Amino acid sequence: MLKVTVVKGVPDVVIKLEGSLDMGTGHSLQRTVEELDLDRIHNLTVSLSGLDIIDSTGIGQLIGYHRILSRKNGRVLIENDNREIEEILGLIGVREILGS
Amino acid sequence: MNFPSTYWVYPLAAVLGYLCYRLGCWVQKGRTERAEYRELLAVYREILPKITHGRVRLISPAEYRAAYAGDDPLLIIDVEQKDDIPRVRQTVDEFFADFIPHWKEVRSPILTALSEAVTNVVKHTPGGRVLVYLESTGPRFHVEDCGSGMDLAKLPAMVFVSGYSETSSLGAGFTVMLRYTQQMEICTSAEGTALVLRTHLASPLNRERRGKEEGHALSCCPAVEAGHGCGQNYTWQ
Repeated sequence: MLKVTVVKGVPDVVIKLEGSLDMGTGHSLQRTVEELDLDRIHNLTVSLSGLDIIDSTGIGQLIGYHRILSRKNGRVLIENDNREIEEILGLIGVREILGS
Repeated sequence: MNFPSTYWVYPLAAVLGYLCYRLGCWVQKGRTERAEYRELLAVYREILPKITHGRVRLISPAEYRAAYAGDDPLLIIDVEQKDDIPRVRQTVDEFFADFIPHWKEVRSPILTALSEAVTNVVKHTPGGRVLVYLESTGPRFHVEDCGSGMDLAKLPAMVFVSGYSETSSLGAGFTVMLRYTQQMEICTSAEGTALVLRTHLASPLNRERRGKEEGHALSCCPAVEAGHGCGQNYTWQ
């Protein structure tokens, strides 16, 4: 299950995630992002420290937002101090893709 | 000159001849493709264990049945839709929390690898199921689906290309599974695919992590334990 908390609204949005982010739970994040309106978001900061599990599909969702935001000079920024989450981010090379 | 009344037979014979020729080409093409597939399979069966130090093996359905027939799984969980991904993880998590004292310390990579395999079933096939076993070294998962089989031509890219590619997600899930399991066996045919994920409670990954925490990274590559005699005779539906 995924809990999505909007810490800061548009244009520089900060979202905190808790629980698990995967193909089965990603719709909660998608719904929040749609409610905020992706067109009005410049930078999207996502805090992953509260996540228990993230898999490649969950990471792919964040990369998808980054691709959309980067077309208008925005980006996705990742905040994380969770060692296990950091390991999988490193494995997939997501920080290189996001440039963070 | 009067043509025989059966004059129409000649163009018909020509058309039939042409159709037979096309049919022959099609059959020959099928034979060639099947022969190429078998060749590819034989090559992969030989090279995959070598290039992955025994961590990835390609096995035939007969080998899968022979290796895993007879043993009853601890859990059988059906997989069909997206919601099943967290459900499978949660079921396995709760189950092993009662069985394995230090489960909390090792659960994350094991559940992530399982999540990747189940995601593949949901993304690419009509459905399948997860069979859960416990070996002396750690949990073993069989993720079976009734899809049309893996595209073997994509296998090298999945094994060699690590991480997320700019153009596709191909390989990212495989990278994670490879990293977080001790050994993977792939059994794929036109009737479906079975992935055997063998995890280790004292895996190199966990030892490496503890080593890093203690200030010295361990470099270890223990022999993969070959488990046999588990599983059940499974026929894809």
